[in-house]
Amino acid sequence: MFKSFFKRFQGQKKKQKDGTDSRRWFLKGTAVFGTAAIAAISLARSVNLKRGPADLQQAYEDDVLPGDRILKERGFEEVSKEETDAMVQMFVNDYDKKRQA
Amino acid sequence: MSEDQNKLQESVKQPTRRDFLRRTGEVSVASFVGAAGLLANAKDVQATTTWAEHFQKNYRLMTDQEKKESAERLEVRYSEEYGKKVTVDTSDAIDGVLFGYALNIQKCIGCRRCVKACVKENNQSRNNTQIEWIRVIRMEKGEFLKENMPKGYPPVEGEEYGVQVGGNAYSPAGVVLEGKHYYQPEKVPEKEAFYFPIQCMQCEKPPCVKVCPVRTTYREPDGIVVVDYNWCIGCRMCIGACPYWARRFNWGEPNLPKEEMNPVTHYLGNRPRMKGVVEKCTFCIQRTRKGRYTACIEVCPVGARKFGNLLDPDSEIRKVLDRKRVFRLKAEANTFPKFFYFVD
Repeated sequence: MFKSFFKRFQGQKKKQKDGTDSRRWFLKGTAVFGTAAIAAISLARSVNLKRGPADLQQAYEDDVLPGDRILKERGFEEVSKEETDAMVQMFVNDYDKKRQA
Repeated sequence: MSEDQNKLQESVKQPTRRDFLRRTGEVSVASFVGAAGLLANAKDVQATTTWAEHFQKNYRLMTDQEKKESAERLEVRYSEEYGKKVTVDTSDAIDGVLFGYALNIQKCIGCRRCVKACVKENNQSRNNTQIEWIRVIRMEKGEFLKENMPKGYPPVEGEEYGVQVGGNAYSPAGVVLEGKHYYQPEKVPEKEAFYFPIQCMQCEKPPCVKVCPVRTTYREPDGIVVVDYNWCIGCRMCIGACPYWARRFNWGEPNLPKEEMNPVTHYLGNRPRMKGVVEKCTFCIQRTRKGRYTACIEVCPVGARKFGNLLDPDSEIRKVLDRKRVFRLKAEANTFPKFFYFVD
């Protein structure tokens, strides 16, 4: 595409010497080239978006299953009464602070 | 042919700069008229999706009027798409309310009615268990003694479980049957199992919010962490940041049959999502902001789930936190989840 574009550009230069109208050609060429480039990029992007991962179900599973194993390893921890009270108080204070702000 | 006639013919054949500019002008005017026509026809589904929705602001930066217009556009589009009257609510957080949630792990029987109710209520993709917002993990149960929960694994001959990380009282503690999350027993609860439901913890200091590059996910004043689906770019940063694996990504177009679509929706909650965006539990924002319980609480047959206002000392959740033995899922980060586990 580039090669032919520049060939034509060089050809046009020659024509310019011959006295033909080059500005119109240049505008036309730029418009065509710009449109073609945008179209090619859009097409590539939409194809890429549509394609997505090869195995959708595997992609969904990969998002979730490792988490189950990790959470299992972590398990639970008990929260003491003092800690619970402090946490609730922190929630209340945070809320008040944000409301005032 | 005279010289004048030749000149005239030449000028007719050769387009001038003025012609070019005039044509460009005409094309531009025609484009603008066409676009205006599309935008003016508010009931045109194509118009709403391609123009207004595409260029709308991030939800939390919208004025009330913009929120209303956005919801109206969506209502028209969804109503047309799903063949029923769909409402998109934009209610703000109720003043003086901070939601909290508690789950009794002793009571949970693993029936997964909560999961199914959540799928229906929140317009989740059908026939895809991996995108469900609530996961109930079945764990092998040894001898359960709640007194032993903060202690280590009991010694098992020939088995080395290493350092106790779970703090459970099971033997061996907390073994997940990987790949069997969607167990199909004849009846629940099974003797040798206990159940461990997980969903979004609505953290007070949510790491998912901190990493979002476009600020599409944020914490509402009532503590619910929400996602503006229209603004989500699908970068999946939040999925990586969530220590509870509570976020789901739509790898494909969600499968939501028309007849099963719940028409009562909230902009930040259960409205239909699209491919390439993240979704998660919102404590049924479309219900709780209207003073109702979440679907999972309503459907739980054993009353294992409790919900309420953390700012109200007389609320159900505060009573649980005051009187019961409370547990939380371990996490490296101090995210201060507002979802607690408890035992009687």
